[in-house]
Amino acid sequence: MRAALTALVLLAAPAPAGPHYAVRPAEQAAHFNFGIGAGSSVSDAMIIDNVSDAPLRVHVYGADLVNLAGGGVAPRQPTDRQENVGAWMTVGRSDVVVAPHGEETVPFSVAVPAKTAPGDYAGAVVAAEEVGTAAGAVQLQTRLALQVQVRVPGVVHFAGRLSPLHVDKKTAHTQRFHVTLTNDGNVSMRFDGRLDIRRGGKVVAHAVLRPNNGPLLPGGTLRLTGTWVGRPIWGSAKVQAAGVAVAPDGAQLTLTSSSRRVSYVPWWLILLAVLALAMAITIVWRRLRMAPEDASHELGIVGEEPGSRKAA
Amino acid sequence: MKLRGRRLLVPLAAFGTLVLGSSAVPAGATTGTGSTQTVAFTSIGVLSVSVANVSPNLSNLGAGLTAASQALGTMTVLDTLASGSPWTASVAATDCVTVPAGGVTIPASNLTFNPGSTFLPTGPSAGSVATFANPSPDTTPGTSLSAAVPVATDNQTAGNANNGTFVQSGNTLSINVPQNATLGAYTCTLQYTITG
Repeated sequence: MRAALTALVLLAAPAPAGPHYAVRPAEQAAHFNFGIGAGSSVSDAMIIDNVSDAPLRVHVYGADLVNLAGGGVAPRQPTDRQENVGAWMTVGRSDVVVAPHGEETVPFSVAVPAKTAPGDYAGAVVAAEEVGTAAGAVQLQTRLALQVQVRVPGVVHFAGRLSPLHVDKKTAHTQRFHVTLTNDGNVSMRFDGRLDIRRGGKVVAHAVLRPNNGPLLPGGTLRLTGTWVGRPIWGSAKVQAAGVAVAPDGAQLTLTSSSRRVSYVPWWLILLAVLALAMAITIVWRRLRMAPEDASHELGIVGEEPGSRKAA
Repeated sequence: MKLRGRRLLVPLAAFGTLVLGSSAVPAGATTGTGSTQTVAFTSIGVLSVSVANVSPNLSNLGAGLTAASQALGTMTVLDTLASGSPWTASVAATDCVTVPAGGVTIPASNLTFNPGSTFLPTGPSAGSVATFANPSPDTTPGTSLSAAVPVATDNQTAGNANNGTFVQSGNTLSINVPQNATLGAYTCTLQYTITG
């Protein structure tokens, strides 16, 4: 019995005053954006700054970037199978110790394999803090990832689509929808979308689709959610998702979903009304049934008193 | 006898003082003030993060019980890179394993992360509440990490509005302890990633 019980012991420790390390590209450019032909390579470097009083141990590696289900991107783990940029990248040093208040430059190269298809490939050069092994605690580890965007020149195919609109949960005054955005092309995109709500042929409301303006890598999908605030209690509307996808070079593509009709009938109100009507009918009916007896009784009282005529 | 509801108190002192977060930074080490660091970082354009070392107090959690919404403290993202590229904060988790090893593993899928919706300053968007997937492949339980789930994103690329220092508060973690969990102390890792 005792063995079936457990106890998690997680202790609190003082929080650090602020960020104690940072990363940046070696050059002044904010990110690593490379146009590399298939079969070619490029070199660059990342700088790791340690602003703490203690040595900083980090693990440096290259990784593919992947879309996250709820929006945004993150690098794969170093133990995951890397499929593109993560597999093409080689770092100069993988285990780095940065002296207190010092900095270390870690060179890396990206070699694009021959016969790589044209398009955008996303990866990151990652600096991950090494984690301790203290017992009985939730270990907190941080990683910093600088994006490495690789474009292999060739025919650019910029394409995307929205799935049919799905109707989600509703409250008394709101209705939630979701739609899935798919990047069918070979370049990255960002999507700025909304819901158009029409009643009687006119647009009566909009709702922002979130995550808004988020990145979506080639081949990726992203679930977008929008909430119509102020839906009617009774009535119907046509709802459509629409928006503009923007490629890194500024090209734009308008995407729309099929329209979806939503109808609202306040069944609880109708049920109450029916119940109230039924009660009213019952009351009236009972009164009508009782009315003749009451009437005769009243006539009996108003008429001659028993024996009064005889007495006269 | 029902196991559900049985709790076992374990003296916290038995585990001594633990240093959470980076093992390279000793407890009590001065890491400088946030403002000083911010100024230093801002001048060169960097990407950085810090996570408050606050662990949930689950010292009396029993098998079959869930510790809901345990506070994790704040997360600070610093992005002064000179471009309007969005940044994403995400988190991944390992299974919880016993210390010492050999006990029942609490899968990462028993952990649920609920991102806080308060940002200072405003601008970023919080991710949705998410339950971690189990690490795949889970070659070394307690070390292998799950797929990441978003904690926050900042897609305000116009005017580089996603540049700056943003503090997210209200992040919580829920842990469901399976019925077959055994007596003992467990450890697991939350890995925060900032991609910018």
